[in-house]
Formats: sequence, C-alpha cells, structure tokens
Amino acid sequence: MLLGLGAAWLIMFIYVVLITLRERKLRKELDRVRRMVEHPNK
Amino acid sequence: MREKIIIGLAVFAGALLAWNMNTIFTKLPDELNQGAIYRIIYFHVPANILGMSGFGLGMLFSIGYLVTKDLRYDALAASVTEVSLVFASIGLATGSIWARIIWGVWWAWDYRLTSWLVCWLIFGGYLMLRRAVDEPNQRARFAAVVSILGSVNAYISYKSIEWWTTQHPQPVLSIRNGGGMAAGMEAPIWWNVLALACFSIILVMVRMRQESFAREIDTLRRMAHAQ
Amino acid sequence: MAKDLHSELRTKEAWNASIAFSVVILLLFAFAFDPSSDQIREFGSGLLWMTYAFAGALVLNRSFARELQNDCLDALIASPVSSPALFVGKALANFAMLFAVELFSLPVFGLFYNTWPPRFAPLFLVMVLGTWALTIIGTLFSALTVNLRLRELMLPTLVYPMMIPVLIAAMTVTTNILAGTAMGFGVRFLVAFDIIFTTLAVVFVDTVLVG
Repeated sequence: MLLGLGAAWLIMFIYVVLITLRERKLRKELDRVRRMVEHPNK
Repeated sequence: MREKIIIGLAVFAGALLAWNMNTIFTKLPDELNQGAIYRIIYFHVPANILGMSGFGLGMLFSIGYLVTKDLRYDALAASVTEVSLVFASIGLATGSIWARIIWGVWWAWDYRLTSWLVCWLIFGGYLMLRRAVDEPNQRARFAAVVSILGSVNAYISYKSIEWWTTQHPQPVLSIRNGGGMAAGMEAPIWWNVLALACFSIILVMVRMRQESFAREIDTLRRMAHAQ
Repeated sequence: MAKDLHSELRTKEAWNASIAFSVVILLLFAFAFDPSSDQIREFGSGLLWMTYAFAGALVLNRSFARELQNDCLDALIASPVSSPALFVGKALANFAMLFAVELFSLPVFGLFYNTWPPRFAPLFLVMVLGTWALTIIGTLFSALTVNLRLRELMLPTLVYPMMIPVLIAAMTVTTNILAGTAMGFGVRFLVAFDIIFTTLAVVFVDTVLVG
C-alpha cells in the first residue's frame, strides 16, 4: 500500500521536476532571444 | 495575481489532502475482503477520473481551437492533456500495484486495462506529435485532430467496465449503477478528487504560462530574423 | 481513386512489396510459435491480423507520401476536387490494395498453419469491416504526417495505438469463426468503429490537408 502511494507521489514529483526544468529553460531562452532582439548586432 | 491563485490553491489542496489522509488512514476500517491495500482506491480512482475527464476536456478545447483558430485554446488543450497524462500514469501505476497484491500479477490484459493503456499511448503520441511540428498553427490543427480521435478511445475505456466484465472491478461509485461502496468509504474518494483537481489546476496554470513563454520566444525569434 | 489504383497497378511496387512482406511475416511467426499445435486455432487469428496490420502500414505509409514527388499533393489540394472526396478516393484505393494483399495471404496462412475456416462468408465480413477501419485510420494519419520531419517515426507511433481496438475486436471475432462458434460482440464494435471513424475522418480531413 505504501508502495502504491509512493509510486503515485513519485510520478507527481518527477513531473513537477520536469516542469520546473522546462520553466527554467524557457526563461533562459526568452532572455536570450529578448537580448538578441534588443541588441541585434551582438 | 496568478501567483496568488496558485499559492492559494496549493494551500487549500495541501490542507484538504492532509485531512483526507487522516480520514483514510486513521478513521476508516480495513475493507472486509481486501484488507489494508484497498486504500489505494483513494488515489487510483481520483487520478483516473482526472486523467479521463482531462482527456475529454482536452478534446473540448481542441474543438474550441478548430472553431475559433485561437492559439490560446490550443495551449489550454496541450496543457490539460499533458497533466491528464501524468494522472493517467499515476492511475496505471497504482492500479498495477493493487493488482499485484489482489490478483497476484502486475498486469492483466483485461479490456479496461488494455483500453486505458491504449489511451495512454495515444495521448503520449499526441505530445510527441506536438514536438515534431514546428509551425504553431499546423501543430495546433494536427494535435486537435489526434485529441478528438483519441477521446473516442477514452470513451471506450470509460464504458469498458460496463460492456465487458472481465478482471477489472465493476463500477463502485454511486454516480454509476448505484454503486457498491459504503457512504463513509466513498466520500474520501470525492474529497481526494477535489484535492487532486486543485493540484492539476495549478499544474495547468504553470503549463499555460510556459506555453505563452514559448509563443513569445517564437514571435521574438521571428522579429530577430526579420531584422 | 481510379487514378490511385491505376498508378499502383502500373508500378506494382507497393503491391509486390506488401505481398512478399506478409508472406515473410507469416513465415517468421511459424518459427516463433509451434504451428502444428492445436493452439494455433486460438492464436492463429492474432497472427493473421498482425500480418494485415503490418502489411497495411506498408501500403498506407506511401499513400500520401507518394504525392510528395513533383508537388503532386499541393496540386491535388488546389484542384477542384474537394478534400473529403480526395480522401475517400484514397481510402477506397488503399482498401482495395490491402484487401487484395489479405486475400492473397489468407491461403498462405491456411497452408502454413493447417487451419481452414469452416465458413467463409463471416470471415469476409470481418475482413471487410476490420480492413476498412485499419484503412480509414491509416489513410487519415498518413495525410496528417505526410509533411512532418519525423514522418517514418510519427506514423507508426500514432497509428498502431489507434488500431489496437480494431485489431482486438477483429481478432476475437476471427478466433470465434475459426473455432466455429458465434461471432460475438466484436462485429457490432467494428461496425460502430467504422461508422464513427469514417465520419470523423471525413469531417477533419479538410483541417488536416488544407487548414
């Protein structure tokens, strides 16, 4: 039973980690592209 | 504002979940035939309810996109489907662990299990398809079609425990066929549905913000190329 | 449709390839399982439909991809023929092709595995219903994935899960036919599936092809 609950929360946790990683990547990318647009010759 | 809603929902869902856990583990007795393991139902059923209705909701948003051609509907459909796939995975995993104890096997090729796995594969394919198409409007169109076709299978899976009576237990909830659970035992399932629904709303909101980031990156890139 | 059949009959390439392919698969299954056992009646229909599904994928893979050369697809979309008509034509041509391959591999199956159905009419009914379902799904997704970077990868990952319900229904009915018992629930399921997916495909083909 604990295994079942553990599995459920583990999947949830993995998804939250994945989503956070993607959030970080997207923010970084957005920053980079913004800078690229503002200073095109850099 | 968005941050406040997310934090508020998280606090509410966390408190509700803690209260539910207390009821489930300390107040409720073991089930007559299954013993303690039956408590998995309090996560298995809510997770699958959310997964299944999420796929259905994703289909509605997909139709919304096809009608309005508004990319925000597409983002909503994608977010909802992705979160639903997570809940479907939880449903499959918890079900498998329950089956190991009660049936003695991790997996049975029962119609419910098979059709639900098929749904999982289809909506997994939906997310893969989204990665394979670069042009946003084309991606939204293709994904919408897959979502609508896939939800036919979600409906088959929903009905499968009534159409074919094989391994998987018959419906036990009172909204279908009168139900077979004692009222005190059924109520925590619905409270957990509510708690997990709040969590899924949080996840969908986070995913929506990511989709809008992605759209912004896309427009900025175009601007950069146009310069 | 006539155009598709015509061009396919002329070149015969997909036709030959899928017939050869289905025979090879039936041969491979014979090594994987012991074909002389009595159990062949139970899992024989599974082998048969697996063969059809794989041969079908081979036929359908090319149905829209073939038009990519010389931008034929764009020309077809731009032509006065409406896309549902174009799609139904394609689907009928694919159906005829796949059904012909099936008719060819059925005696091969009977020969290799020493199984012969007691009645042919119900078997043909299931073959028509099942093959149409496979064709309609395959043709729609073939249209959907035709312009993708990862076409060869995306088509099977999308198509096979969609086909599983059809295959399960067709297999159970075929097993019952081979055993000589009543056909069961699967026929109704196949009919419903055919109707629903044909409708959906005709409704959405415009979205997929034109946008």
